[in-house]
Amino acid sequence: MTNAIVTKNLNKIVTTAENELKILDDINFSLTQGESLAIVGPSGAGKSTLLGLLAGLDVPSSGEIYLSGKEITQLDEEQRAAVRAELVGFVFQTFQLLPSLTALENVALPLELRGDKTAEKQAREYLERVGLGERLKHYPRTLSGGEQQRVAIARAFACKPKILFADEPTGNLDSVTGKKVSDLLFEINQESDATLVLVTHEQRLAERCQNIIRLDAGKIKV
Amino acid sequence: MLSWKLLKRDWKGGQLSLIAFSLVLAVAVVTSIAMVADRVEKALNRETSSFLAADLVINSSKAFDASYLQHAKAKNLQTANILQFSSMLFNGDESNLASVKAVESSYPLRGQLTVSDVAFTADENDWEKTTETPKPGEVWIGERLIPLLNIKLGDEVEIGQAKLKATKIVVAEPDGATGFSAFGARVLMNMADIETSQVIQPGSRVRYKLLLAGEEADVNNFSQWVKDQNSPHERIITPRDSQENLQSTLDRGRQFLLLAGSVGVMLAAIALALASNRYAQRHINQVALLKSWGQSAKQVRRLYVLQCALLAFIATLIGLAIGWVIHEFLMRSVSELLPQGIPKAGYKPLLTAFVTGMSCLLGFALPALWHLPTVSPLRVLRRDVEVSFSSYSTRFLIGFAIIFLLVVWYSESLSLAIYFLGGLLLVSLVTGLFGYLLLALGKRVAHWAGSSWKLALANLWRRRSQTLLQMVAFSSTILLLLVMLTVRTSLLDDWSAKMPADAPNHFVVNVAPYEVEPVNSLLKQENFEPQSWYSLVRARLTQINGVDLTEEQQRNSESVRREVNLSTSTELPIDNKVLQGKWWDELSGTPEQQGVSVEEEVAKDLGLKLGDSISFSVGGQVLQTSVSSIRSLKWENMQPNFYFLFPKGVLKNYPNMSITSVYIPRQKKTVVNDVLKLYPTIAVIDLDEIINTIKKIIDKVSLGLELILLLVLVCGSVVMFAAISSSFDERQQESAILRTLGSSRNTILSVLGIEFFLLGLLSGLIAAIGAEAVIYLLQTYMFQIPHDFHPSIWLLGPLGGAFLIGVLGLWRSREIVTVPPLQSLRALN
Repeated sequence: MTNAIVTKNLNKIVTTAENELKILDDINFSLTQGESLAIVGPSGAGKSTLLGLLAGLDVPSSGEIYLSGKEITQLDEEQRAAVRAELVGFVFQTFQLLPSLTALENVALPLELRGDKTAEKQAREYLERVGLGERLKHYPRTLSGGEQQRVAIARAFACKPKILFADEPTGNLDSVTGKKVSDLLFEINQESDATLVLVTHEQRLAERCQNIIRLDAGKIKV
Repeated sequence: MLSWKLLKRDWKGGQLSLIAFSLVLAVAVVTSIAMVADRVEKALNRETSSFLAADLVINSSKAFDASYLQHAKAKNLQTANILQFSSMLFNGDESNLASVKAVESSYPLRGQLTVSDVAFTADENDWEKTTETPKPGEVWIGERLIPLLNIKLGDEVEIGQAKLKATKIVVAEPDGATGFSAFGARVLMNMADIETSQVIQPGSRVRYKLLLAGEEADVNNFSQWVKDQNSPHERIITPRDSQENLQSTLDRGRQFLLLAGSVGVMLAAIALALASNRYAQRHINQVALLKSWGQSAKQVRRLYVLQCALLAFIATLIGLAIGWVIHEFLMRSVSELLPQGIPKAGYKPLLTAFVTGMSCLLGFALPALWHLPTVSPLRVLRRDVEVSFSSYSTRFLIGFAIIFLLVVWYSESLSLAIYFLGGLLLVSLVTGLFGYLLLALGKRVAHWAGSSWKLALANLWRRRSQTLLQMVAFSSTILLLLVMLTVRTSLLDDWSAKMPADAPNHFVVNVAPYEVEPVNSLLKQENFEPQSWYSLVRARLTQINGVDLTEEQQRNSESVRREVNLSTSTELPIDNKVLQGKWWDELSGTPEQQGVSVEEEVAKDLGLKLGDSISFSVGGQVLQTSVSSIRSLKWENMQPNFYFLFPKGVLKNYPNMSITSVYIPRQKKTVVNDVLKLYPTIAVIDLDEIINTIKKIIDKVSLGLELILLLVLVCGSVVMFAAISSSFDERQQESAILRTLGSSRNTILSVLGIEFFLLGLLSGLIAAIGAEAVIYLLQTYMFQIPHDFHPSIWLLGPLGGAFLIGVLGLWRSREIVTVPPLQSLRALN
């Protein structure tokens, strides 16, 4: 089976006015297609930075990252964008729905950007799948937090990503809603056979993943 | 198309409203101002056409060839033939020489005749405005002939062999007061009676006039055709030729309209810049999201540029439509004040507005959005990732350049653009510098103030870069409004000062040297105050620097084509200004050696320079002299004005007559007859008609100015609204947090109120400084009216600014305190 994600000697250093700050220090791991991974650790441990690097949103100071066998650290922003378009989906802590679009339009937008003619039909199906078939025309501001995150999940999966990155997907939700949303996330993930990488503070959520990486001061703690 | 879809969704979701509204308003204001300006100008031109009773007059010493009428018909022009000649009029035993005007029934093509059944009445109710003319067999007579011929209405008057019934008294003809043609008492008769009268015989001195009116292009076309005929007997007269004394008033009116249009463009541009900036800020996250989905910077840019172009196009079309409606509404509300009717606007205002809309977007919205595609996709995870927008200074420079080009194009005046943009630049600099200092000072003194003041001042300081940006927008807007308001007021004051109620309304001409003293005492005896007397010598300019005048020089200058009046004066006459050379008191030598002072336009037409020698022929004698000064004068001042002035005494050996001007109230006009009976060779020219027309036109120009000012004010309010909106999100978030922490509605409202009040006060103060500078430049160099200090600006700027921005700010912010805090926070998340 091919590896969905492989990192080799990954480092991220940020230079500030006073000194150099090592945010990620020699990160090595691999993940096969369809597996799930939770990245946990205290605030400032470098979780979100690692997620950003894995998703090709940022570049490491040194080291290599392979997504579905493609080395992405040597690519420029345009080329990485193409990789993201092909492989990657996102779910964010703050949902990141566009306030001026309805639930249906929010889900359809990434498909439309790809030129998919059936964008709206698919968006409708995914919204029905997450239980929001009745809320298609609602704007984000009229949806509850849980509902907004469900729209975001529908949007992420509608693009059929090979790898889904979720940044604190339940971080803004209460525990009951959070549980419902994470159930949904894992359910659809299994149906789609996507690789799931999530950053979380929540032990219970992390434990649902097949693999866990604990970060502390930029290093993997075994 | 995806861009179209996104645009529609943005609109539905409310993201676009301010930017679209600014753009629509920008275009609407420019459209309406440009259209109103265009139509008011055309209406004024038509109004001044009434000076000629036509849009064009061809004056000839010979009867017109039939081809003239045919050609005019082919061009769809209205025509009226006129014959003018002098003839004796008889009423029984009484007789008098009169200036007769025979007209066709289509006369007047522009303007109206004023007739009455009562002579010398000052009661306007006795007057009747009409476009009728005397019917065949009838004659209308000038007021002054009534006592001279002892006529009553209904009497029969003899002109040549024709016996005509006097049916009306002519108080004024639309074309009765142009130039010096108004000698003698006037009689109006029908062209059909000319044959029976048999007054026109071979060799009779008759002026033939062909009056024409119609569409501007057709009239110009016809005028060119007449020029092409190259007939030596004909002279073309346009309304412009006939109204030298109105020209500067009209020119200033036009300049004001252009000024207003330019101010409209500038205000609209500022509004758009602010709205676009806010739009760009709000779209940062959207771009980051698009990029996290794999959209490249190029794709994102294409998406936004396309959206921008679509938005510009649609908003411009809507703006054009709204602008047209506004202008139509404004013109309807004043149409009854413009009796000549209002001609349709041309295409230029629409083109102007369209170009304005598109360039505003290019200059202001696009630069604000240009760097949006460079937003890092990492922002979807980390809000602290910085966004590098094109620097404010780059955007400022681009915007500045676009406004500059627009204003130059729009006003066709480089200096106007420099004054205004210089003023705005000054205000921006002053705002940057003083605004910062004032805010810092405010923060320091806040310790002594109440808690609301403390919080408000701290807020302004904390958001200082945004505060300063808002202050630049506010102060620029207030500056522009203050300038408009003041220039309008000073123009109106200047005009009314030029037309006092007792401005001289009669020229007394053809007075022999020995008659000057007795006529002067006679007028004084009746309590009239004659102005200075000028001696007047008729002469023809023959040579410049020893060379005969060229054909081109003769063509160029009206003054050499016919005889000119030379005069003398010791003092520099009222409203005259020496531009080059020196006046007599600074010159040495005998009066004869001191040369001649020449009016600037004539000097330009003839190519005269200081020191050039010129020769006149005065009744066969040669008068040789040299140019010692070049002088400007004001034709509109109703004083005798001269192209060529000599020192006193130089012309005493040439045959000369004298001239003066005097104010005679309507009720005492019969005195004119007493003077004329005693001194039959004297002529009195009545200027009442022309003065009334000037006053009427000034009233209309003023009215146009008021309308335009109103539109500019609306535009200014929108800029302020856009500027207030630019900090809306932050204020909403802060207020929501404050309310969550338990602050009362009143506390938040008073903090917001103080913030906006202070912003308005400071901006108004800075605007007053800039406005005073811009007004100085405009008054001194553009309108050429004396500059004075304007205390009202220093009061109105800060107080008006504080009030307007305070009220608008609180109104715009009402949502902040009415929407539940949680909803505010969620909406912004």
